[in-house]
Amino acid sequence: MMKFRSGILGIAVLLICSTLSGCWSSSPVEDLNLETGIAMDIATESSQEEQINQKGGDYPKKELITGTFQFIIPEESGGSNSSSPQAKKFFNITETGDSVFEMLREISLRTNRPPIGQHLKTVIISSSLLRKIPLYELLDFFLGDNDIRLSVQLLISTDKASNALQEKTPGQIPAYILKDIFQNRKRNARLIKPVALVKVVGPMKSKGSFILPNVISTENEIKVAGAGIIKGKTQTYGGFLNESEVEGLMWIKGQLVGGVLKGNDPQTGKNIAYEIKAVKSRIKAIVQGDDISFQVKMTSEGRVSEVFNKKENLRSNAVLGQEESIFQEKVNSLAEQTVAKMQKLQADVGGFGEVLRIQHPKVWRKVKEDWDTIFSTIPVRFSTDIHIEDYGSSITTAD
Amino acid sequence: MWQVIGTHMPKWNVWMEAFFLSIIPLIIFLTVRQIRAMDGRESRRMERLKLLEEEDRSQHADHNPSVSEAEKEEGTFTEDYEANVAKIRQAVTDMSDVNERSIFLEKLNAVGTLFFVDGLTDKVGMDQNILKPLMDWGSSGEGGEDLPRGKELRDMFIRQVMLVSETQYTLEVKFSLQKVLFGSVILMIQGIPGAFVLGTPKGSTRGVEDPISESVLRGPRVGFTETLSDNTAMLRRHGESTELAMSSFKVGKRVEKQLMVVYFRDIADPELVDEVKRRVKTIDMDEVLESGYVEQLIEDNFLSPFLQIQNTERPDRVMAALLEGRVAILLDGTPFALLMPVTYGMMLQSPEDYYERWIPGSLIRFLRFMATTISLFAPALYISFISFHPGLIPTKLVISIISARQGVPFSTLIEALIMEISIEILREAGLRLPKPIGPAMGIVGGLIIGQAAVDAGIVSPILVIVVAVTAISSFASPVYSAGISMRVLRFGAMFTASIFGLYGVIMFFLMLSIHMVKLHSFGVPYLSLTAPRSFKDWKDYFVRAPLQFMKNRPILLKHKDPKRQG
Repeated sequence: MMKFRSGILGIAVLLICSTLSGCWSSSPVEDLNLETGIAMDIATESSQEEQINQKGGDYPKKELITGTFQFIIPEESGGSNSSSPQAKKFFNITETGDSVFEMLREISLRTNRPPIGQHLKTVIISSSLLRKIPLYELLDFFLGDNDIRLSVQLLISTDKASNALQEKTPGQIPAYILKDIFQNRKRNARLIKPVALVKVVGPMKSKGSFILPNVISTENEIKVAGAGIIKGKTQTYGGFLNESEVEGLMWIKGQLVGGVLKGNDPQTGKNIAYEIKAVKSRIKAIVQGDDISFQVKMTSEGRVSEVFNKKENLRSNAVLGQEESIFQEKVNSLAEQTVAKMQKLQADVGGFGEVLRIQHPKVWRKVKEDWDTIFSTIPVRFSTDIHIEDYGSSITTAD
Repeated sequence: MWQVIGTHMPKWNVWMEAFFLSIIPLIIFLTVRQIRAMDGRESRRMERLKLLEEEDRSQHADHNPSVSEAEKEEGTFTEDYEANVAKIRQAVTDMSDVNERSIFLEKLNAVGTLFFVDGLTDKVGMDQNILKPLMDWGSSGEGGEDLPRGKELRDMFIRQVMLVSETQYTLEVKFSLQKVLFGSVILMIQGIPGAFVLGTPKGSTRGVEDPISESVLRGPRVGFTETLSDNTAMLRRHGESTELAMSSFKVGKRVEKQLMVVYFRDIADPELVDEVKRRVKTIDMDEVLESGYVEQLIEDNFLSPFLQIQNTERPDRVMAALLEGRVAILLDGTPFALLMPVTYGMMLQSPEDYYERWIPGSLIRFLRFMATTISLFAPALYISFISFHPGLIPTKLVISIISARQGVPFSTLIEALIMEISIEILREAGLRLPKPIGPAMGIVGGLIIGQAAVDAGIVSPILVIVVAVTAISSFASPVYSAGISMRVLRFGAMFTASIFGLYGVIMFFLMLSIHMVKLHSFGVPYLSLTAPRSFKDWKDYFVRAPLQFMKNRPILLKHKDPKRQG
């Protein structure tokens, strides 16, 4: 009987443990605020904040950054009676301060549900803010916070960054639009590879220069256009690559997965367009004594998709060769333009330093301290080989 | 250094958590040990076996030393016909279903009496085969100086008169009483001291039907019935084999029942057969109503949620198991045969796997593994994802889950429990309902309640999907009883998930694995083929390899003859 009683006692203790201790750290999703995007600008207080501050809702801070935090508003779906389709799916909260972390926590005083960063997708930093504050200071919170994933995508905005988070398409969340735009890389050669948070950790530590995609926003639309350069040494904004420079950079890096290359036939003055199917590039560092130079070889395969010239005989190999050479020249000029810009801005974002490091480590050790400046004087030569494989049904004859 | 350790010491609540976590398995362990100690099953088994041995010995040693002459007189028939009839009459005083029929045999110039039970005796057969020959013989012929007397007369009766194949002659009152009450006919004739026991019981039996609990699309449409002789015949009818052994046992103290241990003499491991027989012998119960009783009385671990003896309604399944080297138990009065030993993998095998071609067979078997996992963990994972790890759900899904759960007033555990319990109630109710109402009940329960609960905002639509998938998965198990244990464990998983999140689910899974690894069924580890793994047997585990590959019997079952095909 004694044994039996102790057994019963054991079960009782078990039940008490599991029921009285409660649910450790349980917090159902519907009680959380999902962050989707964060935009950081130079401090300008919103009217809301001014009102708050006037009424005494102030705390000691330097005014450096204005953060715009985007949260999801889940629709109330009460069974079949659906809500109106125009309903906003997100809301933005603006907060000004000098610490991203503190700003985010300050929001907890203004909403009922705690924000979580596990579904944060996009961070947009305005270029003017980056001129003042280096990137590593701005991103430190995102790297340190245990909620936020390293797959968060970084963008630069030459505009006010928070504009990119305003509603453009009804019923869609801007932060997700910005993230999903990069799925279109197959369609456009002017879109750089998306840059995740994890990708900038390395360059930030090694003081290398790199680029972030740039977003501009108009009243009703956003566009990912060009790229912003982050200078290696200072980690601040170092300049802007426009769309064709980005295109050239993509050719140099061989990172294209598709897109269009438009050339102009000098004989007819008409446009011809080449659809890129595959691109490979090979950079070779040539060291002769103290002289360093680079040789970039780019090869591509694709098809002619648009020829305005009606009389063009695409059956003839000579014509095709002619066209190929037009495109090759075009690529070379794009690449040269890009390198010129890079050298002007004294920022190697094309990965030339990396090539040198791998191919001539000894040389690299000598130049790596001041690479960005040295790079601005190094000659780069380009050669392109384009192969047209296909020309669609353009050659179908009438009969 | 001490300072560093001091500053890194966890807070009190972490200590408490760790303490509870370590103490819970300890408490479970101790509780189980207590219950086991209270059960004392194995020691009782040994006691009963000893008792049986002693009984045997005393019977062999001297026939009846203690029984006095008077009592012996009471228990046996004598020369005196009137007294014999009176003894039977005396014994059946309160049994009005026992009929008596007197006859007169002119040839012998003797009276006779027949006793039989209404309903149990085949009356047409009795009229044709017992009464008619008796009367014909008795009235024919000229009379009796040349007729033998006593023993010779008895033998003559058995040899020449009776048209019944089963004819026994006995002097024991109790034996004849047992027989007559079970459907035989007793015949007593003046001048012959004992009694004839004629024929065998012929009760009403159900025809052979498609097994309900294990239906297959392809395969024999034959299921066991309640009659033991029919069932054994079904096994015999599978084909001609001289090695199919059936040893008979009597189980039940007050109501005796016949139990058959079936095995192949040249395949089954003799140790296994002996162990089964030993355990069967220890059954000491008023009546063994169903094979479920046998199962629970002889299984290894009665505290486990898993069944360690498989039950089946299908003769082809039994035959396949026997040919693998397993042992079957058939019990009179139930269509469920027991198969032992069993491993977890066998629970997920259906006879159909082998009848269909191997590719679909393998695919479907793999699906069953998945279905088991789903039925065990789906609600638990739902709870832990929703309330602990929203970051693990894809973004688009989490948004729709949030909007779906906006109006739900309960925590995820309560929400899931509401739906799970109502599904279980539905299942139970559907089982009890008369057949014509069953589908209607399903529609009302499944569709209307589900839809209404969502509309009323009691549960979220996502949960309804989870619960429905879980319920369907739990029915995908080919052995119904195996599915039940998964359903029970599901609730445990849900509770741990609601307390500890994914961590709790993993802990639950680990504890379950520990238990399963430890579990044995008649000496065979329950998780055989996985742990201890035997790659040679994997041909028939996750996949069902082509029959051409399965040349040997499974190694995990020790058997005499490893080769199954050339």
